[in-house]
Amino acid sequence: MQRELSPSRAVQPGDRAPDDPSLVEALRRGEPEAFERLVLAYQHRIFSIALRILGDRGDAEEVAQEVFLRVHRSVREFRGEAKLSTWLYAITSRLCLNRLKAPGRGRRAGEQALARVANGHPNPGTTLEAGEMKAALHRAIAELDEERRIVVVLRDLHGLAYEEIAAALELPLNTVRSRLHRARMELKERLERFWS
Amino acid sequence: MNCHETRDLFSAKADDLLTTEQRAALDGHLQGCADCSREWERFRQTVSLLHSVQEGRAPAGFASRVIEAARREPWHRRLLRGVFLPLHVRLPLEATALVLVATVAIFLYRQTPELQRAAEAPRSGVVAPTSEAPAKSADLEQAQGYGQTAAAPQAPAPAEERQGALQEAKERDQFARKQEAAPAPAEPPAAAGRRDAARELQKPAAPQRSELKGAARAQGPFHLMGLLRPMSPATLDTQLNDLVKQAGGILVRDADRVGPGSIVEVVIPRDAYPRLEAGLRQIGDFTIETRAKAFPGQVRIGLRIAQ
Repeated sequence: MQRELSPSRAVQPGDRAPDDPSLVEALRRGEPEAFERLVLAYQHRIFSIALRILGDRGDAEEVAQEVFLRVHRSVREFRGEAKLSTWLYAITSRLCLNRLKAPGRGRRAGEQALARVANGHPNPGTTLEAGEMKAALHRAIAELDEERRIVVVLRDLHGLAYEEIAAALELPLNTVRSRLHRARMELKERLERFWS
Repeated sequence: MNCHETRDLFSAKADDLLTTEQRAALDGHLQGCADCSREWERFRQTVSLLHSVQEGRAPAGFASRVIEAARREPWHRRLLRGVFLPLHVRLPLEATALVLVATVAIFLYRQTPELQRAAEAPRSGVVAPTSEAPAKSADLEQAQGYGQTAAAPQAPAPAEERQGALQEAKERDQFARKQEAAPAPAEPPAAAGRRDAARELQKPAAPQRSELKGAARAQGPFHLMGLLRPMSPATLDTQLNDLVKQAGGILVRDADRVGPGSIVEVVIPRDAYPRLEAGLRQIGDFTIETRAKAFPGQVRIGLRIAQ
């Protein structure tokens, strides 16, 4: 039976979830309360990253749930060398990439799904042009190469530092820098009509 | 700085990661290059647009579903997690379990005499009859002669000695069956040995003489049984006592004073037996009634004093 969580404990979108060492310790001890705190703190962020990378809400929800269950199962092996959040982003990125590479999932399906995400959630109060621009941006993101897309999602949409991205994706820092730069340049080109 | 180098630094500029020198060079180029300046403005707007995208919200009830799913983790995963606990949890648990098991084992051992006997049997069965070392004190000889564990501190006997000891024990047992005064025990020799050894282990390290006497009688089997007709019964006790002492043995009487009709037990080192026999023949008429084929290191002699 599902249990309703206290609204007062919910984390608002955009909040940075704290990397509390006591939370990690409590998770290692297997305290149910700690796992609940973790899910509440990171649910929107993890779901959002998965959504921006995968472009499908159903897929994103499945991946986000799997991320938390994996943490629940293996937190005792987490040595604390990296931040808890970095570990979460690493799992999320890996699961998203696996899902994107899964047989039967075409690139086009992801792009179409991302377009639906953009079109289906217009920001109220914005002008038509701004709405179009955002939709175009989401489409452009969807058309990016997967490797570039993940970097730009983590950096520009979710504000991770270069070092965090490098740790999560297990990439050299320079690779992260160059992928991000190329992704931004590509997006600029794709949005060319809005800049004239 | 050319246009290509300038555009390569756009991301670093947008993220404010340029050094002072790089920033100065880039800004200088942008002021003098309209194309790059226009490109930078578009690049900046693109990044700004990306930053304006709001974080998506997880669907309603998502957290509850995740927490519920974690609670319903399959049994085999829970089991595996339990088996492969991290060391900092597993080690104290295992140490505690070990202490508990050891405590229970010691408690059971102390409460169960059968277990104690079973644990002591191998020691007494092998070591006791193999004592070949010359006696250093009467007490030590006594203990060794009665097949007890006083020989435990000695080095383990070689295989031949062990075999010889077993043979001796066998012969002694056969000899004992023939004794009139000491009937053979009904139980197997090995069992008797274990029982004797167990009984002896419970004794103090330096047993009293009276206890040794009792133990000697309880043993039953003698390596030699003889009849002595003393020439002078009045001085027999003193003569016999002196003789045994000189032979390096001990004398166990069945009464305060040895006299006609007594049965005494003499325990001496095997090497001292000829001297004892010669002395007995000087005391009186000594007749050997039964004798083992071979003597062990400590020879137990039953001596009947004729009426």
